[in-house]
Amino acid sequence: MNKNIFKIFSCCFFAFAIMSCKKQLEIAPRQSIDAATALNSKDAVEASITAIYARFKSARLYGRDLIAVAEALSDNGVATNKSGRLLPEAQNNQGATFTTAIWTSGYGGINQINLTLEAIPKLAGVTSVEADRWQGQLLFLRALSYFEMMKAYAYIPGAVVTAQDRGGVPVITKGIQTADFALTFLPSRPPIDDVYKQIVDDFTLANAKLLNTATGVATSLASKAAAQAMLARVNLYTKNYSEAKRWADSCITLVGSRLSTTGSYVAGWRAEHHPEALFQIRFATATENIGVNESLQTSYSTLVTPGNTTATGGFGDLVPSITLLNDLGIALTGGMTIANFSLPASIATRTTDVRNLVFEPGTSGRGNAKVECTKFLGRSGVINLDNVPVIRIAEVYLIRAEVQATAGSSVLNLTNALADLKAIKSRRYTDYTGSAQEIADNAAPQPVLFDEIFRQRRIELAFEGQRFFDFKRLGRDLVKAPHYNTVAFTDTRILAPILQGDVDGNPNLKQNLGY
Amino acid sequence: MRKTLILLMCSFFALTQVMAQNRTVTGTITDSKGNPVEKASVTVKGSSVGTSSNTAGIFSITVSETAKILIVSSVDMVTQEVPITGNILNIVLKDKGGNLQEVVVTGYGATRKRRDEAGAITTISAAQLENKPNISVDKGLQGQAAGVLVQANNGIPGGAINVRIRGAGSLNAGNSPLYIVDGIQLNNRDDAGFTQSNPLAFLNPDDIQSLDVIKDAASAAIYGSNAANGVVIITTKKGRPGKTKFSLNAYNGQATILKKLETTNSQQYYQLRLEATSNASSLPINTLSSKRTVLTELRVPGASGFTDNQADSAAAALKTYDWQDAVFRTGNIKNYELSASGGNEKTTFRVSANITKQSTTITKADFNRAGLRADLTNKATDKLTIGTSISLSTFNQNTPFAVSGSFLGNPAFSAAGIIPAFPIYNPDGSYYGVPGTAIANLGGTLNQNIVQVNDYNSGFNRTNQLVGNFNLDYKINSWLTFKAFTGLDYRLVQGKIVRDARTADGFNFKGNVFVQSNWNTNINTYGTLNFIKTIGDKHKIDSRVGYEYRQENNAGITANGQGFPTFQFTSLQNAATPVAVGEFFSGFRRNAVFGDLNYNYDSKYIIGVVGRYDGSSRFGSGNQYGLFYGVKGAWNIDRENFLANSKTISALRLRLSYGSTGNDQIGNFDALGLFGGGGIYNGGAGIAYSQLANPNLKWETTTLSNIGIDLGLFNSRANITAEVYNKQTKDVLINLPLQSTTGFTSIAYNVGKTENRGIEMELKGDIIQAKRTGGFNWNANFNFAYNAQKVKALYGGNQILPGDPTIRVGEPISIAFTQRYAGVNPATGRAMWLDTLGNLTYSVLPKDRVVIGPTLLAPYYGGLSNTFTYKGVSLNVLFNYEYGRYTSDGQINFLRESSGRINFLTDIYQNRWTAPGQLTSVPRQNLATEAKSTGSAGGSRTFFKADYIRLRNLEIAYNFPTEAISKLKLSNARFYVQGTNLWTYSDWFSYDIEFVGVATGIIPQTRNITVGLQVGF
Repeated sequence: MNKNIFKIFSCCFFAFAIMSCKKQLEIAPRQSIDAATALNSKDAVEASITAIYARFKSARLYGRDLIAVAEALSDNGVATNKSGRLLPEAQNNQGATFTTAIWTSGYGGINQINLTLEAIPKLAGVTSVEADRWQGQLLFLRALSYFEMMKAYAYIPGAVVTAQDRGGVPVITKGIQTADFALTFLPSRPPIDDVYKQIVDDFTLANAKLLNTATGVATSLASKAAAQAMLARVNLYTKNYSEAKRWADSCITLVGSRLSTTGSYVAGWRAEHHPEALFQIRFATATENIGVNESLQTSYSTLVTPGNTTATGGFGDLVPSITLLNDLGIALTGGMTIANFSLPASIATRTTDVRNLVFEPGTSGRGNAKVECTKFLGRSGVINLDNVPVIRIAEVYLIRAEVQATAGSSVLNLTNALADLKAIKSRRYTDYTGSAQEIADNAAPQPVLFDEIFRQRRIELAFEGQRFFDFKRLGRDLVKAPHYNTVAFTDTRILAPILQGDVDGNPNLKQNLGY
Repeated sequence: MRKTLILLMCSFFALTQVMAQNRTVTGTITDSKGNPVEKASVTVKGSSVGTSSNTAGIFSITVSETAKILIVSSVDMVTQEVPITGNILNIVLKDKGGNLQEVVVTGYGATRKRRDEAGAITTISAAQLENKPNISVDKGLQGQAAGVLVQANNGIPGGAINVRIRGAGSLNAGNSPLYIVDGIQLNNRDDAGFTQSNPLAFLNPDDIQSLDVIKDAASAAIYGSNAANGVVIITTKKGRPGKTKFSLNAYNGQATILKKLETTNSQQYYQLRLEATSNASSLPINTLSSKRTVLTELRVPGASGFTDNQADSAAAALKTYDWQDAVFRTGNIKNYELSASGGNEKTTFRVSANITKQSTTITKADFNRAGLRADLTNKATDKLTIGTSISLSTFNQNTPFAVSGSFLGNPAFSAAGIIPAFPIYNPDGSYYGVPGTAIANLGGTLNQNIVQVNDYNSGFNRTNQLVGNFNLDYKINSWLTFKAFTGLDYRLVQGKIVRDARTADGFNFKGNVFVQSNWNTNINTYGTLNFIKTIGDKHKIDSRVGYEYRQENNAGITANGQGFPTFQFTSLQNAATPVAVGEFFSGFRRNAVFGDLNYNYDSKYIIGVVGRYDGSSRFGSGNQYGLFYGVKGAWNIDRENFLANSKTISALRLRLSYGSTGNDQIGNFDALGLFGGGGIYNGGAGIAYSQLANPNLKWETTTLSNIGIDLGLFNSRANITAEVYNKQTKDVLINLPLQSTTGFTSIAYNVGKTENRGIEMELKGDIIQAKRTGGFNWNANFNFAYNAQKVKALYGGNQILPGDPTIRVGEPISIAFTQRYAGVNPATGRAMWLDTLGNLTYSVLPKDRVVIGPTLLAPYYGGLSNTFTYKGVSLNVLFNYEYGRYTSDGQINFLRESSGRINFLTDIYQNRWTAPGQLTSVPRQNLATEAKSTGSAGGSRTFFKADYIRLRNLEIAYNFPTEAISKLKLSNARFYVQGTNLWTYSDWFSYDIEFVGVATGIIPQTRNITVGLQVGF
């Protein structure tokens, strides 16, 4: 009996043992698929594009840093030290700047964009409409990735400290998918202009391929209007003013009048999708919520809902500086001094600028109340969940105004510039038409007009992540008085460090000076 | 009980023969561990009368009336003269070589006498592990085995323990040894998402009979690809034939904090914050506006309008609240065990049950285990033996808000850092500074009332685990046996975290609840054909061939919901918003054929070879299989004639071994190129290129050569074991950094070589030997290990790993590589640094980094154990030590900042720079980083030597005299008092030196006192 059991057992055992050994080792992952064939379907291309958009939601990108850190570094933001966040950035401490996530996430996305672009022509049954829609978005996102990296890590053409210029960021337009290639890939930093050319080329091609002019939720994806607006902004940066004007003209024509009015301005900042947005990064569901530590809402405000100072939500780490409050037309009780600024905030007076209505005192739940920005206040219906406008039509007007009011511009035209300025101001000041302000604007000579356009740009785009780069592209010193010390344009802190690990591992790659 | 039985039997023999002319003396001969000694010769001194003991160690001899002394001797035992004091004698023979008679476990169910083993294997016996308040047995190894470095990650009961045998060879693959419990290869995963759990936490250490640490590669090579980091074989207690024996063991105790951190009181904090505030604006320290600002921050009513005098008296009136006192508690330790074992010649069994409850000093971290074990062996026929060993265990670990990290709600992190001016409770007894009340938080960065957070939040991980095997031995003939074995390690880990709607992290979500469920099925089966034959008298051959298959499947689901109707509801069922769901699967497969051949000539010359051909699913398709091998030999020099009669040298052995083993402890699918989940956007799910393929990924191979000497002196009164090893690891597995411009940050790769070379020494001695039974004995056991680790080569001639400058040829694997802090400029109070050229500067760059020293593995470590016995009392004192590594304590780094966003260490208050000319290493306080400065928060300022000597365990025990307890029908009774971590020599200034990694917010170790009683009947 026992012998039989033994025989059966041992037979089974050895049968098992001599089964194909190799086969026994087979096991496949279930949440991932083989990279070699991953992009072989239309759905996969769509999913790949989705993932590239999703990257931009990171708190290190549009989720916070590209907006709030940019404000902290500029003269707009003052850190309240309520959570300790953004304080080093507001003080422009050495090393407190944009992180290397823009670099790593950017190149991760760029490689996938390149691979997806290479995969599309190989797919069967793709219509040209589909291909254009995909390629247009991919090119747009590639340009946007390079542009954001260049803003953080490199100088902007026309505003370069030559002795400190270590170039742009490596441009990669071919997909990488083998270890052998990846291990020997040691790129260097090309000249700044080369990278901007790539950015312009990509946006231009995206513009050609994209057809839609999006509104509402559709602005969450790249559109023709978005590409044109971005081309206007990039050319403003690179000081190709005629191109900036051309693209701004085209964009405004394409989009039509989307500017909010004095009556609808505040509502625009309470709507889930900002009506002026041409492109936004969408945060839709609770899983996408960045949360109480780092969301834009918590960064900017202690409020949960506008006007309700009894419920404390976030930290309100970064609040408008005295100079920004001045430009916004907000006067603190007791006067605009550092001493008053440190007291619990109380607004004495406001001007007729409707834009200052999205600034109000927060709660005292995290220490002294401050006047806070409420542009991001849970517009997607939940606290800390806000879509982030990347570019709005109002900015396109301001770009067109600026390039025509800039001294030495090839498209200098003060009349046109004034018209665009007034297009904005008449929709922002309840009493603009016929006011002394309008009369003064009408009579403004070039430098005055330029300054007013630049000031309006500050007010219009306050706490939207533009101010630091507006200084940087013009090569201006960052004057942060009365809160902080001035950071000269020649200071190395104007540029963020690139990934030290990449520098450590690549003799061709030069770290920015000072890091 | 068994002894009693034998005594009864002996008495019976004695009685029947009492009428004879000569009398009959009977007795049992055992070794010092109580194992019977067979074939021992027993002769009457001065006559030729003699006999020998049987397999149970029992002898019976007829002696004349005049005979006074018996001479008892056995191979490898110290010959003893025993006075004939009665008709029944119990004789304990001492091992000549210290422990050469002890049985070592060599893998796949094989055992061998140490005398016949050529490898480097350390055996830890039950006595060294029992009754210590350790959740898992690995913690009990600290200081007990030469060359085994045991480091607790933190003080979570049942938390992770790092065990490193002879250093660590891998850069990124796991460096943990292979754990085998009763033949079952455990998986060493930690699937507890909300706390930490230890793969050995299912097993009550008191159920362990012995633990064998295989340190040399030739011995470990039988386990091939799993064995590069050594093998720990755990054998549980088994039943023996005889009357059923019961053992009851209970201990109870308390766990208290080792240390409270000395932090500043409210006045000191105020002063520091005032300095920081004024310095940030370049104002004189005592500027009124700064005083107002700080007092306003500290929520003194009306502070913004204070005069200078008002401000000063308000500061002096600030109260100090001790948040550490509010958070720390006294933990409880409770352990109850009952076991029964016995059987007959055909069937033996042991069953045991245990309940363990331990809570630590931080609420709510605890560990509650209930375990059952059953071991059964049956000799079905003369040829067939079947057995099973099953362990069922369930343990629940409650967890605080977080078990590590700088989370605001983490009590271990925040307790010392909350600004002391903020009260814990309002005057009416309600919590101060909680959401939904007028004052919604505390001031400063640590703004959560952690007492409330911890009272209201809850979280746990519960592990249900089954570890069991079925084994079968079939004796085909006298020299050939077939063994089949199947083991299962099944684990279900479930957990839940509730962020209560009343607390800061749940308030805005109206409650935030996470659940996880993870199951892991690990099956391992093998069959071996074992050959054992003695040819002639002196040629002993044993050999085996086998086949093994192992698979592991790991799967899990997670879910998160928010928006609960009231705080009483915490079931996801009641959540308004199902935020996220997750599911995953992973697993691996391994198979192998293996074999070994050992030859032993007259227990003088021993040689063995071993080979294993091993496959793992984790590697590239062409590189899944690897060949591992070993050869070892031993020379029992003391068996040579020239030493046979030495009075000094009682044992001398020389052992040599060389072998290779593998490491595949990387991610299950690391070799594959993969697209995985790429987040969601605009209502769609994305896919992202998550991993670059490396089809060439293969084994990391470790070769280790070992020379060992065992020396016994003066009839083994002193025993020395010394080992020297050279461990070379090649094709080291690493997540090789890539230029992130490729779109990838790293790739799993085989790169370069590492080396661990070291010596180990174990000295055992009977320093004082009692002249007679029950006298004073002092036995000491000292072990020492030195391990020198370094990276030997990288790739492409690189001396520094591209992309990770902390990996450098010639340096250990984990090093502190950072800038050198140079103290404070006496003129300005600003922190200074040294640049590459050694010049003082305020601002340093990455290029100024230098190697400070090893951070993970201490090059010198070991332990000292002393046992004193007198009559029934014994005192055991165990120390362990580590020397030569550096580490940084994140907890302290936070408390040494210069801005006052959280509270300070008192040391900062006492030593900060305040006036020009002052010499100190603590810079002046400043809210901002000093202009154009690196600051003072990092670099070498944060690294300290992590040397320590710790009184790991002290036990005083009393064994009740047999006569006294036999009246209570007990066979033995033992009462003991133990203390753990009673004393530490260390100048570490944080909670405790014993941690691995960053100490930020971890639960520290505790001082434990336990009292226990163990009875057998």
